[in-house]
Amino acid sequence: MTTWSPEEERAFVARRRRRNLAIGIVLGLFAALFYGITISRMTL
Amino acid sequence: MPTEAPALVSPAGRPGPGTAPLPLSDWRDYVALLKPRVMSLVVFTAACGLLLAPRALPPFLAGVAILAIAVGAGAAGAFNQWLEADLDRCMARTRNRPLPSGRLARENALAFAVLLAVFSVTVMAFAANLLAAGLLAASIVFYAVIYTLWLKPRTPQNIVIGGAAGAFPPVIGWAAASGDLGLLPALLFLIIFLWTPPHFWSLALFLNGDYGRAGIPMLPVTHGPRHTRRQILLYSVALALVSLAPVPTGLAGPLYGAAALGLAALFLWFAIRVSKNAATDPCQMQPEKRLFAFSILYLFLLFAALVADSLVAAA
Repeated sequence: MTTWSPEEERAFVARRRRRNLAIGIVLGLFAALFYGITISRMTL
Repeated sequence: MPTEAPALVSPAGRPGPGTAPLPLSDWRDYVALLKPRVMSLVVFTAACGLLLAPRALPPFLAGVAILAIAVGAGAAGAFNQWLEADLDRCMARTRNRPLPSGRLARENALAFAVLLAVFSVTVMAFAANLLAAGLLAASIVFYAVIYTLWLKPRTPQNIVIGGAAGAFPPVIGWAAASGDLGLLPALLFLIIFLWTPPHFWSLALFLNGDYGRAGIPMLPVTHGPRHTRRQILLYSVALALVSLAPVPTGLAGPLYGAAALGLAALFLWFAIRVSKNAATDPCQMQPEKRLFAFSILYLFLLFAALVADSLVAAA
C-alpha cells in the first residue's frame, strides 16, 4: 500500500487544479472559435 | 513544482492503495508530441497554398484553416510517436522523446492524438469546406497508417511513397480557400513529393547506424550509401524540373522563374557533391549535412517566391 505525505498530496492537488484550469481555458477557446467561425461564415 | 509530485495515482486520479506508477509529464511533453519543427514547414506550405488559391477566405477563417492544418499535422506527429515508441527507444536521436523516455503514458498520447485529429478535421469542415476537411483527414490517416505503420518498417521506398503525407498541406490550403483543386496545387504536391527523398535520404545517410540498429529499412541501410547517393541525385534532377514547371505552364511569372532557377541549380550542386562523396563515416558526411540543411531552406524560399510572384502579378 502506498500513501502520500501531506506535501506530496498538496503538490498533487495543485497540479490537478492547474490541469482543470487549462481544460476550462481550452473549452472556452473552443466555444469562442466556433462562435467566430459562425459569425465569419454568416458574412460570406 | 507539481511535476515533482510522486508518480503514484489511482485509476480515478487520486493517490491510494494498490496504485500503479504513472510517468510524470507536463505540457512540454504534449508539445513535443506535435513535432513542432515539422509543423512549421507544414504551416508555411499550407499558408502558401491558401494564398495562391484564386479565391480568398476571410482573414479569420483563413487563420482558422491554418490552425486546423497545424493541429492536424500535430495529431499525425502524435500518432507517429505513439506507434513508434519502441523504435524511438533504439535511436539516439529519438530516445529522449516523451514516450520512449517514459515521461508520458502511451494511452495519454493516443487520447491526445485522437482528440487533436477530430478537432482539426471538424474545425476545417466548419471553417472551410468538406473537401479540405476530407483531405486533412486523409493526410493524417496516410501519415499514421500508410507511412508509419505499413511502409516505414517494410520497404526502403518508405519515404518515397510516405512523402505524399507531407505534400498534402499546400493542397489542403488551396482547397480550403477555393473549394476545388487544380494544376498549381498538383504541382505544389509534386514539388514536396520529389523533395522528400533527397531531404530524408541525406539525413538517413549520416544517421545510418541509428536506423540500422532500430531495424528500419531506410535506403542507406538496405542498399548502401552509394546507391542512396545516386538516388538522391536522380530525385534532385526531377525536383529541379518540377520546380521550374510552373513557369512554362503559365502558372508563375519571371520572378518565380528566376528564384526557382537559382534554387534548383544550388540544390543540384549540393546533390552532385553528395553523389561524389564516398564517405561511410558520418563525421565525413559534410555534403550530406549541407544538402539536408539547404533542402529545408529550398522549400521555404521556393514557396515564398511563388507567393511573391503571385502578389506582384496581382498588383
